[in-house]
Amino acid sequence: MSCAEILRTQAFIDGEVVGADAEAIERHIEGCADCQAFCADAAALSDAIRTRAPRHAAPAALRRRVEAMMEDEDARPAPSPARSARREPPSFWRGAFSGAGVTALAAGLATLAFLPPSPGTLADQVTLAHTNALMRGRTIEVVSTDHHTVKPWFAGRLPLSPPVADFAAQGYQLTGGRVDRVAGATAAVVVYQHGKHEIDLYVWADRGWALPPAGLSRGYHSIFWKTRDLDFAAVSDTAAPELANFVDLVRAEPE
Amino acid sequence: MHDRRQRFEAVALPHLDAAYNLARWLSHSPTEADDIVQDAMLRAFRGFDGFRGEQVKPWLLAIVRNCWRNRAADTRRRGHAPLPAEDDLAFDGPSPEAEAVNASEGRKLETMIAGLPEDFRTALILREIEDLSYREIAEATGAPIGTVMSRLARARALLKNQWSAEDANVVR
Repeated sequence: MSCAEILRTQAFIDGEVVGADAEAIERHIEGCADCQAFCADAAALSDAIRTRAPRHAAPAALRRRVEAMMEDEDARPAPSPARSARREPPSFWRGAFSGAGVTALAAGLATLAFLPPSPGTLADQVTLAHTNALMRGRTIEVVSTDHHTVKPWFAGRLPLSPPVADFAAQGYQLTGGRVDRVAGATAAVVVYQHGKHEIDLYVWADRGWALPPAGLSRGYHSIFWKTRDLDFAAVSDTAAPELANFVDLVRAEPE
Repeated sequence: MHDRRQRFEAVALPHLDAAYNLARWLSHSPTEADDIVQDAMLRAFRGFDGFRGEQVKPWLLAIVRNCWRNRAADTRRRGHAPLPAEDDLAFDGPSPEAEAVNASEGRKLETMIAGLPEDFRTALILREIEDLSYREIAEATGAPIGTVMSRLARARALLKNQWSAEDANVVR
């Protein structure tokens, strides 16, 4: 990995770059064997970690001890201000983001966006993720027309549970799913086929992002909406009314 | 009067799994991880009124990492530096998911990740398993974003090399 652009390429695949910068990096990757190899390796590693390395969940006993701890702490007399100041956790984390190092970095990385995506860039990001998957020819990681297969597949990989239903009768055939990234968030992607067109339904845990209105970007229509704790984006090159129809079907499904 | 507790339960407690996961990957030990997280949650709870940041998760993970460092320093002072016990590296128990995949492959990858230098390992775990952004990882580890980026790249390169070497061994 000798390419000088490797960190920018990495930021791109980690979903940290948006808009025109992302397109510039994409163009670079297309012409750079080093960066292509890096992307392929990083994607393979990411898949391996997601499927093979455990996310250790806190044992129930630990959870109970933490709850008991809070009860004990609440039962104690209110600490005096001096004492409470002393008891605060170390504040290194508070300064972590204000130092000169960060300023220098910000200058060096001015083209990278680390802030929550604006609605416009979010629309770009989802379209990008969709077209990238199409270009890689890797839109489906679990192939199945059965939602009883697709839904548990996500359950083993993501801390969120996307609604998965089949609308074959209405002309929208469930074909599978994959895990993808949108603007740094991990998203479940439920894949449907409508005629010759693929429709990707992106679902990620609400991060408080403002969602863009329905629109057209690079020839792909996208429709965004929110439920209580999930954000949704449907993306496809099918006609806008067809996509809207699909979205109505999904939204009519009970969660 | 229990306002602090309610807020803590609402915004910090949901990250208990994330805290425990990081503690496990840092300490390689279920018992150590238990102690680290308990310590970290107590500190976080006591310091919660002073918390003025926006993102609770990186703040909490920073405390976890700090608790782990303090314990590791104590252990060194006492004169033992235990290596991770074999048993402690094992899976918690086979989930249906884990059984479906090749368990020995998973174990191998886990051991490789466990063998990475701590800074690299933490960056990788927070990115790939906890899905933190660079900015959040920087907050959790007290490092500039540029450092986070190079640690991630190094972690990925090291794992890739080890993985290829393993594959070569299998072929041979």
